[in-house]
Amino acid sequence: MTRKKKQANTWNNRSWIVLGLMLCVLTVFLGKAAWLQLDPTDQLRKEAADRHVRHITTASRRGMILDRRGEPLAVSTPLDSVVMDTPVLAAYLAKNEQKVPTLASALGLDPTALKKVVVSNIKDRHVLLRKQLEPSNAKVVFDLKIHGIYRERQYRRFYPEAWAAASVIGMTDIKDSGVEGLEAQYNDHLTGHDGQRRVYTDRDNKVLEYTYAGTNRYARNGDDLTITLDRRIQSLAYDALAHQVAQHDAKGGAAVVVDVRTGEVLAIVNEPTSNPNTRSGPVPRNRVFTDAYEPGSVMKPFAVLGALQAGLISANTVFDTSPGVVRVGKYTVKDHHDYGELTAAGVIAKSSNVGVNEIALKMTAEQQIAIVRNFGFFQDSGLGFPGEKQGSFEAHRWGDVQRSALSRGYGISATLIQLARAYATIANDGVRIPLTLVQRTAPVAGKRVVDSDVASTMTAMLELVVTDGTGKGAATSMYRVAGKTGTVHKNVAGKYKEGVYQSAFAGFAPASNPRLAMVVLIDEPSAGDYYGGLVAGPVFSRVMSASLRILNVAPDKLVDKSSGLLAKLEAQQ
Amino acid sequence: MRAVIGGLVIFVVASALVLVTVRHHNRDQYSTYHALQVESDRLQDEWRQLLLENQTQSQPRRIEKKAIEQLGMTEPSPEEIVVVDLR
Repeated sequence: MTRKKKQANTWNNRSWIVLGLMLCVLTVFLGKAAWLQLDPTDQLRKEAADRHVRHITTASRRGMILDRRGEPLAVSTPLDSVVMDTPVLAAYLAKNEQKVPTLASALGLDPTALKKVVVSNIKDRHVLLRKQLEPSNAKVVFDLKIHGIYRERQYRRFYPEAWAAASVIGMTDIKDSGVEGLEAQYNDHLTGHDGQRRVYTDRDNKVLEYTYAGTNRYARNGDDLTITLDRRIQSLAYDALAHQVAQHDAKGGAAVVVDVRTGEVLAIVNEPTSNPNTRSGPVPRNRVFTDAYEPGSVMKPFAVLGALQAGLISANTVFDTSPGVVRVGKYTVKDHHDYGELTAAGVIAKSSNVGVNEIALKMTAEQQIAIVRNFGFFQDSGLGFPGEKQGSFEAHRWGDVQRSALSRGYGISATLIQLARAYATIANDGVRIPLTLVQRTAPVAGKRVVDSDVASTMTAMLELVVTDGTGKGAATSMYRVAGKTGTVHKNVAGKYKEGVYQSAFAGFAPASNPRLAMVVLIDEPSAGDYYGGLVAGPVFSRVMSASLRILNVAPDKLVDKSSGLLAKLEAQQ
Repeated sequence: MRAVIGGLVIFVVASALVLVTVRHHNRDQYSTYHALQVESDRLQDEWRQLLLENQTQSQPRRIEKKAIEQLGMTEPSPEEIVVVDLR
């Protein structure tokens, strides 16, 4: 009993002290734990963040530019640059001498040169060792798993058609932002935005989870842009144009192909141009849009169309163009020859200046100007191409002199895209369809400019140009072609330079049921020939027949069946 | 009263454990998601490279050259063409 009491007493005194001490210690520990947990100075959070929080950027890719059939014309693909952490790399290479030759050759260096670079930058922890390596070489470099070597990824734009489409597609700058052509025009559409994530990682840099703090957004790739160009036609048009420019020792040339029913532009080519893949040389100009030139004879059909539409003449109305010279005000209008009596169709076929002059002056000034405007001259193409010109006229008043000049395509300027639209309008039965370079989601309504029978009369006249007139060079073997030649003295700074010409052909095919319209311009041919039919015509012929074949358009000009293959086949049966 | 408190204690402990599991699960899933994202990026880039390669190989002038030189193909002359009307 006493023993028990003694024990109790002992408990009461000493044990309480011990218990108290233990509780004190426990409080200290708990306090410390709470302190660590609550972290009022944020020191620990910062330390943890330094070790475990990373910002990950996901690069967005610029949208592709695709042709009408979905074939890429501009694609961004990654290229890796090699960056070295020199001290780490030096230490690693010292231990793994055998990897040096492989690394050096993949980087395009010889081993001694590589070692030299390492030694001379020995203290620097971030040195660009090789910029934008070929993908195959980059794979070799990074597969070596060398310490102290990192990749820095950049996106670069590639243009598979290179020269052929450069003037339309344009190009991007080194930051992958569009600076020319469609790349500039549709930059916002094509540009995406990079993604950013703040994440926790473990010791091995493996991503564990994302944090809610800070910027968090997903990468969004730029949208693709589908345009109306047909790569095949673009490519062959460029080849044909470049060939002809070289052949005739010309300063340059341009051409445009349009689908007359839909207003879709199938090809726009320019020469000279540059290769956007190498980013070298001058930025190519797209003269189809940016050059308004004096069109000359290719304007003649519009004066005749005006007179036909107003009912002032018919295709068979006869005009006496003798003696091939006529005075208009203080100017003389001349023909190459005295053509004598010509029908309206003959005036177009022979491109008679005297005849067109007479036809134009039958109209009122208002009628004459209205028809030219209705066919879309002096108005931009509506395509919004950067740097596009509208074309203009010099006249302050429309007297006979100005009207005569207008009917022959002088004293005004027009772009090739306007000419293409105007000829496509004739081809489309007189209905003007707005042009487009970007695929439409819904069909658009056209606007009737001249009556259907007027348009078909003009088509017949333009066909005569190719069969019997100045445009024989534009004829094709399988399709009937309608079109008009134009050869103008080049107007340099307000003066017509002797012996300097611009040769053009504008037309469409197949004449029986037109599908494509095309305009070709060769600037300053200087190898002898300069007539539009001889210089620009062959480009038209080659491109038009190949394009129609590519588009599976049935030929409308096959030889007489009795002598053709069909006859032979039938004879064999 | 006691039963309620006891029940709540058990619930708190249980939910704490579940929280730990869910968090672990979340990390696991996110890590997988991230890896897949990286893979998807890589494949996209590879696809674009292949597209370019394909485009280069199928250049019309290259095909034309091969057709003429290797296969001896020629453009048929108008006499050799018969239009078949399928209507």
